[in-house]
Amino acid sequence: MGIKRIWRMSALHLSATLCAIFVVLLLISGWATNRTIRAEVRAEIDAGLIELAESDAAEFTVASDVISLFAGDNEAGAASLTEGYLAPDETVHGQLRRDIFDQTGFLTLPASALFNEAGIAELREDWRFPSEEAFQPEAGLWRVYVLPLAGGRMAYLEEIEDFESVLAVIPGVVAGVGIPAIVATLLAGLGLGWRQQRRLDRISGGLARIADGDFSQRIAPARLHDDLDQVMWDVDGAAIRLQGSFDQLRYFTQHLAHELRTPLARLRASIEDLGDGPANLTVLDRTDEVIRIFDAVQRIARLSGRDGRAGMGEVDLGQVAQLMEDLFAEIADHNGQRLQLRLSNPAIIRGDQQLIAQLVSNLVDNAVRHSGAGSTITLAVEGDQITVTDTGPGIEAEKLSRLCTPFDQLGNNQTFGMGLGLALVRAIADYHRATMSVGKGESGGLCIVVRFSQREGSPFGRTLPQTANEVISL
Amino acid sequence: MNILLLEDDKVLAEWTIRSLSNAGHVVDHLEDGRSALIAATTRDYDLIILDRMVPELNGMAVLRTLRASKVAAPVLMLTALGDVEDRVEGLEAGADDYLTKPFAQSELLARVMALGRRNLAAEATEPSLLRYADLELDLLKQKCRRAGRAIDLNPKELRLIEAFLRAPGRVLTRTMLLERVWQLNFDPGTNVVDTHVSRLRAKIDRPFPVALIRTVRGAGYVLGD
Repeated sequence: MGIKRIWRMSALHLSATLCAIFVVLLLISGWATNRTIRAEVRAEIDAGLIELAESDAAEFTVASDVISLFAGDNEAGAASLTEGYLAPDETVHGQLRRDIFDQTGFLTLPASALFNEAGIAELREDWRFPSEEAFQPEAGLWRVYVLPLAGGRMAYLEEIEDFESVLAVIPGVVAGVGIPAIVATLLAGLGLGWRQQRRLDRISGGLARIADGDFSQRIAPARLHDDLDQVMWDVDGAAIRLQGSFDQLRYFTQHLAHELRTPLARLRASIEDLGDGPANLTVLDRTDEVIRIFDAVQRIARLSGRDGRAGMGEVDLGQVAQLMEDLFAEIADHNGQRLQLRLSNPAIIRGDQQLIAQLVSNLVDNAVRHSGAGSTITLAVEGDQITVTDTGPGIEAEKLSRLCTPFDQLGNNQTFGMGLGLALVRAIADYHRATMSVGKGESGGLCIVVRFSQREGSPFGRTLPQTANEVISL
Repeated sequence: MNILLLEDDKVLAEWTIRSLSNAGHVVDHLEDGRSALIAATTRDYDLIILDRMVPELNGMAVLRTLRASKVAAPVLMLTALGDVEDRVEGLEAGADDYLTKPFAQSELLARVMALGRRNLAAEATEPSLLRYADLELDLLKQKCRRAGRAIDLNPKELRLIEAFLRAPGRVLTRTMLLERVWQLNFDPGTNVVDTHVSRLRAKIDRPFPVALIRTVRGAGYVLGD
């Protein structure tokens, strides 16, 4: 299975889309959670600080009472890391910097902007930090609430670094959970898609066989479990109906052939009985022409819509070309034309010997009839490719595409009948799944190329049936 | 020759019988497969002509039964089915020749003559030297002489004169020549066969007083004097 096919798996597209949606939702919810938690925690911290402030405001009305909180050693030391006081006489109590008291309200500050040197030194030795080096004054974040109290200003502190570091973990968790989940989902999508692909291939195969005229295969399972099974069932249903139509058509054409040939045979027989007079011979000639046309049309009809299966053997293209050169050399000579054969690694292909001989014969006959006196006709076989070129007047570009349409007159009596011979060439080429192109040769004449390599058969790379000839210029 | 004809179309049967009788043959005519099968197994015919699409038992079934019953008479199949596959099917089932309707009277007569038991046997032998009047063809050396003089023929001309020499005095139609010389079962159009024959005549007949290859108008060619 190539990269291109993996790329086109609808199951993979589906799981990739689901993953993308999942990622987006995950990111959104992660961000929302982050913000919500942060807001909640902040609100709680702030509420706690306000509560402290309110209880102090109720309890302390004299500055000296407040100052006495900061006196003493350990107890005060502990207090000094959570509070600070700017007395009415402008003295700072606690280990905060003076400038934080300039404003009232809430502030968020790192330790370096909050504490004075003594405070920072104390923090360094604090039990919260595993080592002195672990403490980073610029990094640690504190929430500060400053408000007037007993004539001065009181600052209440709460460290929020812990919460910040907890919140910082969330993106990591999201990534840690999300990325493996995404990868796992994509792989699961690939795996399921692989399985699904086989069923899709079955459907593709079934449709391809129908397109080739094989209506006998059935692809649906005995029990239908899902919509793909339903599609398979529908494909089988279409095959059955098409089989019916084809059978009817085949029966009809086969009996039509019989029904028409018998009256034609009677007609011809009666004319032969009329005798050898010139008028009778003319009528007989015209009747034979009708029979030839009927023959060719019937053969084209029988070849179309069928793939070569029965009657195929090994055909040496070089041998067939030689036979045709042999056959037509005299008449070309008689017409003042030159017929030359060019063989280059002629291939041996699977095909119907008589049909391929007819194909080459029609091409050469066409060139002999229409390229005019003095023209050089080249019959070339290169590998599995047959080319017939002439140096005659050729056909105008606009008319080239109509060349293989039966009965298309191309507006010139001379070319009547050209369409039928080439239409049979086209039918035989299609029967062998060969490609046919019509164009202008180097010297302006007509150039027809038939290539016997198998047409593309893969489900994604299938070429659509050709309804018009390719026009190429060589 | 004693010929058995199985053909259910009255008009065509009458015409076929008349053509064959005029050429000196004796024809027994039946219109359904079952009667034809009985007749073919109880009487000895030089040639059996079977139409494929007939009532009771179709031509192919009659053919298969005949061959299974070891009836060795040559069989010519007539049919209104024109597929290449039908022809192959008929020949593989044991028919000796196969004609698609509509066909010319001359075509029928030429092929009937070719299928006469003696002629079939004669054509099947592998002589190393073929001779007619003063014309000689050495198959081993691939050399041709007339009245003692060597005639230079290219391979296809050799195959062409060989076909004539194997059927001396019998008409060879253009389609028969295409089958025998070029192994083609279709008509390539134009008059390719005619040009080949006239080239051959230029080498074989023109330098000599008597022409051996003659045109039979409306039918084909014959090696005869």
